[in-house]
Amino acid sequence: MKSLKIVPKDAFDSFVRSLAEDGEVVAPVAREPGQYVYDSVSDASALEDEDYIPTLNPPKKYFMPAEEVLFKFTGKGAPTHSGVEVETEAQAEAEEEIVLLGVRPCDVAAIRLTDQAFEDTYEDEHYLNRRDAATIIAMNCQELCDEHAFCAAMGSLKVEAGYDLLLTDLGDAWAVAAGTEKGEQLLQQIPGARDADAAAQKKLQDLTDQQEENFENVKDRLDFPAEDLPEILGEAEDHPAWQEFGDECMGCGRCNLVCPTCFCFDVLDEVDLGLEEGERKRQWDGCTLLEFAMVAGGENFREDRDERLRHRFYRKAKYLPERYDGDMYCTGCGRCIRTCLVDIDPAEVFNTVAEKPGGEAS
Amino acid sequence: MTKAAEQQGSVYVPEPATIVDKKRMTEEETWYDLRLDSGEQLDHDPGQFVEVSVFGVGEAPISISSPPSKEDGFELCIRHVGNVTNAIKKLGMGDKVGIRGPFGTGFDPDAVVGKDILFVAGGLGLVPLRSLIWTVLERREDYERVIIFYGTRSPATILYEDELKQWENDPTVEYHGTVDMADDTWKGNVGVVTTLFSRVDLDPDNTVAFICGPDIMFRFVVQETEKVGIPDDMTFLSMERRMKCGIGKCGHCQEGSVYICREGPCFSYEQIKAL
Repeated sequence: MKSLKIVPKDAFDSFVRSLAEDGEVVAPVAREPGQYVYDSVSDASALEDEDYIPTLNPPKKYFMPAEEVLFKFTGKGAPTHSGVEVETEAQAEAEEEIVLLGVRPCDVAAIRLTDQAFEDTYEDEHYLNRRDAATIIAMNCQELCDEHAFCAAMGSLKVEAGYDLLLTDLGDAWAVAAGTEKGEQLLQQIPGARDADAAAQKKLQDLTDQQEENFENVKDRLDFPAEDLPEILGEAEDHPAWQEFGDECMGCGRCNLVCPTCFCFDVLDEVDLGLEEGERKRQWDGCTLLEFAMVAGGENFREDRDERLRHRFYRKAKYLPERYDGDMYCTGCGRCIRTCLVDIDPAEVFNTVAEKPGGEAS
Repeated sequence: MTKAAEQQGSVYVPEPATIVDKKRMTEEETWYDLRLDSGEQLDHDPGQFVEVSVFGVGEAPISISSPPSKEDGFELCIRHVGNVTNAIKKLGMGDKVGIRGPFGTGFDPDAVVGKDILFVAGGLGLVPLRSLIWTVLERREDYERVIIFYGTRSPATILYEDELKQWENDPTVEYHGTVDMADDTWKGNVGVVTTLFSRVDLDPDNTVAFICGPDIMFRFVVQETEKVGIPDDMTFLSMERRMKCGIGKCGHCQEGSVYICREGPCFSYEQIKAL
């Protein structure tokens, strides 16, 4: 049985302050109005920001930085010349502990999805070491953040896993639920935490009901249940709308960069000017970029923008769900819509290709 | 997935290996004999690939061309077309490269025992098939007919010429070669590889086809195997994609719901049709 405690807000704030004294605590903070980023905080005040919309970059950056060194190598002489001896040194070591505070359910869902991909068969210790060093204190959304989010339609408004602690705002206190063993231990350390009494339980239930009501119309952003997407896309490969969306798309890759479930990367080597030391790095990559599926010799397996755009949507809602037990790799956070130069909206794309070209539902 | 189970440290750090022999095969391709510095064998299946590193330049996926039975090290035949493969061109005997792998799903010679085996290779497509061809020939009595079709652009781009002669002279192998464009020295067939299908009678009920070559060749060869009546689940292909990480993470080689580097590069045509 997962523990649930009630913590008065001032006690929780003290708790966060003590966490921030011992190590790094990050939370979504407004850089300017409407522009949120995860950044260091020293207290819990970021949780009280009523204007919150999802951060420009998702918390993914803490587990998979935009660029990171996979290993270093040293060699005497230019690497492409004869006689070079190379020694490699892996860079994935234990990471500094970090607390992510106020992670919204859409991002909690995304973290679980990227965990799953990096754990699959060949464990990616670069990602997983950082992930192990992170504590996720999530926070429920009581109201829709903005018109772009469609989390409720993608099933990521409510999360069952992926957090250590989950907060629900009771007004003068937080309801704090533990999701992991780590969360249970943390919960024991919060001063002033008390068991949830009948009144608190009732309030939580009311909030849940209210949340259900607040997000009812968000579910309608998709014309069908999200779990039908793999099948719908299976029928829609040749839909003429792909060409239309592809003509709009600039192929700029911004949607990939801000997506909490995009984890594709490119790998490159860099050497110092003396050609003796070098690093192999990985960087975020994006499947909507022209070179993404190009092989040596110049053949490109997705040369046109519409093919690449379609690939992106298929990967989110068909290819990866088929690989990972039906899990949708789109959380409906809306970041790609907010950043898109031509307002491509996944929900609209999915609804459009679900209809037969004549306009009749398929 | 024994390699994954044995995983220690970062999956992205290659093992050092040494070039012990090399031979220029054509204008564009060089053959390499390599040894892992650890002294370990690769322990690969025919059709699998490795990621080859030139430190400071990068990594490229390369099919293993030697059969698993080769006792010391392994062989690669590399076409010098990209940054990494052009850097490899400059390396000589005794030089070091990095190796990760073997990766992917290869061809299974045990699954086709008792069959007539048809190999169809186009150009560099001979390289992954060579590993399987030698595996099949080593246990020749396990199979019925062995038929090899090999097509290249021109006589100058033919790979493994000595071995092709060996197969030509082997009474248990039906070898047929062709070139798209002949020159004065060429006495053999002229035409694309599909023209060779008219030269042999194939038993659709007992033939299994292994095909490797450029994507465009697949399309035409598969039309021929379908015409003969070889079932789609008895037709196997090896696919080329941008297999950057080799372990199903980086996303570049995704094709439908599979990663070519994990579930492939070898597939049955039945699997490919579903992608």
